[in-house]
Formats: sequence, structure tokens, C-alpha cells
Amino acid sequence: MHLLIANILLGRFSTHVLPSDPMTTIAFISMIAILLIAAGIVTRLKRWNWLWKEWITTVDPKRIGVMYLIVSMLMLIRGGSDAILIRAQQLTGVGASSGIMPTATFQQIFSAHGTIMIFFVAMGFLFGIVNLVVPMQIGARDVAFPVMNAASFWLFFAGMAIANTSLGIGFFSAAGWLSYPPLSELRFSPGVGVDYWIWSLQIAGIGSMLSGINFVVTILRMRCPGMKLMRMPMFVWSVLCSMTLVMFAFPILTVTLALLFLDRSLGTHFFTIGGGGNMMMYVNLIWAWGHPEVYILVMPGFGIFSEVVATFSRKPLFGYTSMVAALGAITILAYTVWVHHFFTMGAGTDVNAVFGIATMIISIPTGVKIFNWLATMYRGRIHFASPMYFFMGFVVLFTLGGVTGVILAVPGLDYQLHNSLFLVAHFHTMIVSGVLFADFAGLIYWFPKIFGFTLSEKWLKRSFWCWFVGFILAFAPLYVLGFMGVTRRMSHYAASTGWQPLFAVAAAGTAIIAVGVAIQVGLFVGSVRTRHARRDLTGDPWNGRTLEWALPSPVPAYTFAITPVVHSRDPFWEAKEGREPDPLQVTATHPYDDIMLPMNTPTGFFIGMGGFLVGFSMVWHMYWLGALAAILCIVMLVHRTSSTDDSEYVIPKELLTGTGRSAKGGVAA
Amino acid sequence: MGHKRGILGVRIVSIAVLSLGGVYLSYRYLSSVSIPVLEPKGRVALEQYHLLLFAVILSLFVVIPVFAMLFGFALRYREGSHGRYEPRQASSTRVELVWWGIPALLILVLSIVTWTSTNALDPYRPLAPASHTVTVDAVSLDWQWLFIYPAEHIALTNRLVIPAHENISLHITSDGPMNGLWIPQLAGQIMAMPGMETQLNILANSNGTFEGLSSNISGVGFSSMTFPTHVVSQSEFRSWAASTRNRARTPLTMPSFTELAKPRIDHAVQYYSVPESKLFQQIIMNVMKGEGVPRVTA
Repeated sequence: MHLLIANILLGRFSTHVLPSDPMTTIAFISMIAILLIAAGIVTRLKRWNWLWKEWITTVDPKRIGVMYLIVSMLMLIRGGSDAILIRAQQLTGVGASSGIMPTATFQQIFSAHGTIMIFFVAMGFLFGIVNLVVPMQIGARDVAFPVMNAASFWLFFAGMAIANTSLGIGFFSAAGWLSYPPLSELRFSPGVGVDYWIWSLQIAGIGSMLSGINFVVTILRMRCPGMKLMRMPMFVWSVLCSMTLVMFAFPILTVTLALLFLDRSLGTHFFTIGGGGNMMMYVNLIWAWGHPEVYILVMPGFGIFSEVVATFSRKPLFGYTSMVAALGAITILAYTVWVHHFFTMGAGTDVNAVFGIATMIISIPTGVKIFNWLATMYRGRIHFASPMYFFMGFVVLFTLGGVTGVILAVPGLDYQLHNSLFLVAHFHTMIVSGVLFADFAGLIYWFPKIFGFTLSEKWLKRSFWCWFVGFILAFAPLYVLGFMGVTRRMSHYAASTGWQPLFAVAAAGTAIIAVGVAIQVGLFVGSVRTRHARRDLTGDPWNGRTLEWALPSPVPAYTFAITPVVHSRDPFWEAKEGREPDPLQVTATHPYDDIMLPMNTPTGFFIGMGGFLVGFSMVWHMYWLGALAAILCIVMLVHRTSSTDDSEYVIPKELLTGTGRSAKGGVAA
Repeated sequence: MGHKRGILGVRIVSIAVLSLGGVYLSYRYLSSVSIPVLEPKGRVALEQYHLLLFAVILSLFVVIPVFAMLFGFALRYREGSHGRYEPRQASSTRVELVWWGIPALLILVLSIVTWTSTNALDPYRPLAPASHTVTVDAVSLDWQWLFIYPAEHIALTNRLVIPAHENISLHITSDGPMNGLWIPQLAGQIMAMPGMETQLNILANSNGTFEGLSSNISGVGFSSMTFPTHVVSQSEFRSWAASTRNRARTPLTMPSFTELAKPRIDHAVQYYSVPESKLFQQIIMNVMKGEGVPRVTA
């Protein structure tokens, strides 16, 4: 009887959940130590109240964006540590030596590396930059659904927390970042690992889906007067396309994960081998989400580079209409290629050929984008600030990665290279250059706008060289190893293969990237300390073109003191050239007005914490607690949407007089 | 200005020297090791190698102009150089048609090649008439490979022996999670999937030993699922099969298969006689019915 009650209350939670191997124990202890130190600093500085009022309960997209960036940077360090451990294992697991860690730990580490890098680094940087930049670029003070936006962030945070909890309580999935059944089914992966993976993605994924809806509505409904669709900055276009993909792709992920969890918890047979289940259904569904996900990540990267190249070339973006058409084509084609992830699973030749050709067709609009960026540089006046370094590195790597992608898209060749390290090198080339380099460029570019000071250009360029050279050293050997017949996720190999020297070069490259990350952290700290000397007083440190550069740096909470009016694609540039009025000009017919802003609320935070509780309880089969937490989340939502309290506050126009930049002051010569 | 240009020159030269040095060292190293995909010994692998060369050469038509423009424009139009500046130039229908058109043409060519090569390299397509075909049933276990020769009435684990110049028709399944059967020097890989049968045809052009492996993660023993593939002459193969049939004491039946299929990491080569030629189908059916080998739950 006692046992039964304990079973119902605690599910499969027991005292045997703490990590047993030294590597995980060390990682867990250091994670706890970092959290305690952070808590200690906040207590010491008496900042808990400030943290709660200014950040945790905030609904300001600028602050939410900053929180996304902080979490992503921390997760980049976590996922990067995983990468170092993967390289260390593959360097040492040769011949008689089984390497520095048990295979079970190694498999958890590469599964965590992929999951964290995609969901909590790439997605986090993306949503961070989108939150910071999109409202400013379209002349809006806020997003369409500010509280939902906060909830999105806290659900993202909860998903991240669930994945990291597995480090100390239980263990993580060892079935790879996409957890194919039947390996991920209960029969082959008993225990909580795969469930941690499922619920981490499930909770974070719901947050992403809500963000997708939020930004599509924001972009379609909240543009300022004069901002027609075809006048939107290219970054906004790329986000619109990306978020449309999110809206249609993430529900597939949600359903797929739910079905896998039902298989594992209630014994259903959606993807099992026996009982009429079919693993191919999972593989199709997960890639019907997974391939669009690649474009969800990379299209905003294209958008960022479009802004960066135009600004630093001192020219308008070449072929704007072409660029929009290319984004649209990629958005649609993104749904038509998912089978190329499993040509080797016995599909017929016609099916494989059609999906191979569809994949190659995507390289046409992608190629057009690259040519348009090059044409933007042509007859420009290129200022080589650090974002341009990342752009140059991106074009080099992305073009080469595109070639390897076309190779993999030919089914006849994919049979030879699928699941090999060639494939691993290919997608790292695309994602590091197209997503990470783009996000870094975007962060550097918009940093002064958000924080009011610039970062050290000298150290930014050094960090670029570490990333670029380190990347080539880390991944060029992997292409070769793929040709040598080395498969991914391999923990051990014979000494006679002669692979070890190449793994050594790859490990050295990874170490150089780690130096690059250390420089990035260091330069951020250093730039904060010297911020008074690097203050951005003009609001326009790069000689920008689009609306956000017309604002002061840092941007005030209400963003725009006056509703901007635009007349072209590069309104601020045109104003500086004297061809158009300042978009923020205050006139007798266009005076200051009262500003309504949403009030801070803990609803989003509580929903996120509820999401964490749902995920954690379901992992451990404490179904009553999961259900309770889910019900609480729903109650909070209903309460929020039905409450009649004033949820907005007003900044009266009298206070604004003189704060918005007048036309003359704003147009810097 | 001259000073700045000097620094740029020094940088470009040193980057070029370092890159060339790296390329030279890589070349020295790579010419001393074996690169199976680039050293094909099977008919399919050879065609795949030619296709690879074609795809790489075709893509150079994009890579070279992109790199030339990228670095050319970067040098010519950087701040402080003397390149012309046209701050309002923003589009040109003619030019844009060119770079929608040229990649589209290249992809059209590649699509035709893809269509024909996908059919030519179809792993299900026999490479020789039935009279010159040896059938092998491959089963991936946790974590071993089992190769059954139904016509020869033999089976062995963790080693594949095949005759050269004959079509090897592999019928593949898995008794555990998904695996991939890949012998890079002979042909591409195909997945081994439980409750399903996939096929792969191989034709080896020369004798020798070629490494085979599993290319899809299937649990803790996955990395040790390697197996040597011995390609021997046709007569050697026949005599090897006959002597194995005489030597093998254990018959491979459902009970002994169940024993063999228990999860373990094992490289030992075990020989079996195979009295029942439908064993492969039975393994698939058992898995589909959910009666596969039960797993130890942790």
C-alpha cells in the first residue's frame, strides 16, 4: 500500500537518480556552483527585487530579447563544452584505449550537444535578435501579444532548464538529437533519458510556436504609417518567412513528440516495431518539422547579412524584389525536401530522385541571394567593421557548404556519404556560417542600439579569426574522414585505420574555437568596463539606413517617442541625404501623443515555471503533478485573458516633449 | 594610406603562405593513408566516385565566380581604395536574370544527371543476371552482424565472404534498432530496419579485404559493429562455402538465433549451418509481431 502511494506520488523518482560517473558529476557540481555564485552576487548587490521587477516580469521585447541572448550565450558554452568532450573522446578512443569516458556518457553528450545547440543556442539567438530588432525596424513600440511573448521566453527557458536538469537528476537521451525509434522506444531506451529529451523540446517548442504566431501578427499588423510590405527591411522579410515556417512546422514537432511519449508511457504503438507501429512514420514526421527548421534558423541569418552588407557597403541592398522572391521560394520549397534526410531507408528511385532535385532547386534562390549581396558590394564604399568579417567568412564557408550539400542531395552519392562525418561537417558548415556567424554579426551590429555603447572592434576581429580558422581546422578533417568511411556518433575505432591524426587536427580546431568564445566573453566584459569611453552618442554608429538608427542609443522603454512615418526602404538614409523628411519628425500636424505600454506582469514567468513542472513531472511519471501544473497554466491564461484590470500604463505626451529627437537634431551630418 | 596598403599586402601574403603550407601538409598526409570512398573497388562505388567528380566540377562554375567576386569586390571597393562609388545603384533586371538563370541551368543539368544516376545506382537493381548472383541475408543484431547464405545453407557472424565479379544480392533487416550496412569501397549504405526488408546489390571488381560497418546508431555497442568483407575468386568462394557447411556444427534455427541475438558486444566469427531457408523471413515476422528477442531493462 505504501509502495503504491509512493508510486503514484513519486512516479519513478527515487534516490538513485544522482549521476554516477565522474564526468557528469563534475559537470553537475560546476553547474550548481555557477547558479549559487550568481544567486550570491544578486543577494550581495541586493538586486533580487530589481531582477523581479525589471526583468523577470518584463513584457518589453527589448528586455526579453536580452534575456534570450544571455541564455543562448550560456548554452553556447554548455554545448561547446559538449563539443570539446566529443572531440576528446574521438581523439582518445583508439585501439586498446576506450577513451576518456564510457560509451553511454559519450552518447548522452552528443545527443545533448545537438539538442542544445539547435534549440537553445541557434533558436535562442534567433528569437533574441528578432525581439530586439523587429519592432524597431517596423516602427512599432511593442509586439502584438506582449504577455504571450514573455510566456514564450519563459517556456524556452523552462525547456532549457529541463534539458540541463537531466545532468544532475537522472540522465539524458543517448539516442541522438532526433531520437529515431525504435532506439528511442522504451524497449531499447528504458529510463528517463529520452523522456527528458521529449519534454525539453516539447515545452520549448510550444514557446517557439507562440513566438512564431506573435511575430507574424506583429509584422503584418503593427507596421508604422508608410511601411508597406515592399518597404520593410530585408531582415523583417526574412523573419516573416521564418516565423511562417515556425507556425506550420512546430505543430508537427509537438504532435510527433507527444506520440513518442505515448508509446513510451502508455504503451501505444505509433512507432514501435511490433504491434503495428512504424518507425518510418516518425522519421517522416520529424523531418517534416526538421527540414523547415533549418530554414527557420538560416533565413533570419540571410536577413541580418542583408542589413549588414547594405550598411557597410554604403549602398542600398541590391535586387530587393529578387531577395523577397528568393525568401518566398525558400519558404515554400522548405516543405518539399524532407525525404533527403533518409534516401538510404529503402525509398524507390523515383521518390529519391524527385526529392533530390527539389533539394537542388533550393540552391537557386540561395545562390541568387549570394549574388545580390556581392552586387551590393559592387561599386560600394565598403567599411570593414567586424560584422563584415563575419559576412566574408559566411560567404566562403556557406558556398563550400552548399557544394557539399548539392553532393549529398544526389541520392546516388548520398548512399556513400549519409551518416558519415562528411554529413556532420556539411551541416555544421551551413549552421555555423549561416546561423551563428549571422547572429554574431547581428549582435555586434545592433549591440550599441540596445546597450548604448559599442564593443571592442579589435577583439571582435580576433574572435572572428579564431572562429574562422578554428572552424576550418575542426571541420575540414571531418570531410576527409567521411570519405574514409567514418560514421557519425562513433565512440571507438581501431588504431590501424589511421584516423587519429585527423581527429587530432579537428580537436585543435575545436580548441581554437573555444579561444574565440573566451575572447567573445572577455571582450564583452571588457567593453562593459570601458563603456563610458565607447558610448554611442549619435544613435547611428555605423551610418545606418533603416528606421532603428534614427532612434537614440540606448533605446528608451517606449522605443519611439513619436509614431514614425516612412516613405522608402531606407528612410533614415534618405533623410540623412536630405531627400526625405526625418521619419521621426515632430510637426504641428504630427505632434507627440500619449503612449500606452503594457504593464509588467509575472504571468509569463509563472506559465514558464508551470511548463517546467509539467515537463519534469511527466519525465518522472508523476502524472498528478504534471496535470496539476498544466491546469494551473490554463487557469493563469484564462485569468489573464478575462481580467478587466488595466493592463496598460500611459506615458503622457507632456513628458515626451523634447525627448524624441527633433528633425534637425536627428539628422546627423 | 601607403602604410595601410603595406599591412594588407603582408597579411594577404602570410595568409596565402600559411594556407599553401596547410594544403601541402594535408596532401602529404592524405597520400599516405587509405580513403575508401575515393578508392572504389566495386562497380557501384566506382560509378559513385565518377558522379562525385562530376558534381564537384559542376559546382566549381558557381564557387569560382563567387570567390572571385567576393575577394575582388572586397579589395576594389573597400574604403580608401579607388573603386567607383555608385551609392544609389540598387537593381538591374538584366543582371538579376543572369543569376537566376545560370544557377537554374546548372541545376537543370544536375537534375538530369540526378535522375539518370539515381536509377543507375539504385541499390535494389541487380548488377548481373540471376545465374551470376549470390544471395546473402544480412541481419543486424545488438551488436553484431549475422550473414545468412540461404542457397549455400550456411551462416556466419561478423564477417562477410563474397565472390568477385558476381552480383551479391543483400537482403537486409534488423533484429534490434535501426542500423546501416555500409562497405564504402564496394557500394553505398542502406539501412537495416526491424520488421522490414531493404536490399543492396554489390559487385566487387577485385579480390581483397574491405572494411564494413554500421552507419546508424543503435545503442552502446554500435561502434564495434564493424566487419571485414573478404572478396575472393568464384572458385575460392564455392570451396569456402562447402568447407564451412561441413565444418559448422551448430544449426541456425529460431532457438539458436534467439540465443545469438541477445545483446552483446562480440567480434567473434561463428559459423552455422542453416537447415531452414526461410529463417530470414521468420526473423522479420517475429519482429513485426513484437516477438523479437526480449531486452534487459535497466
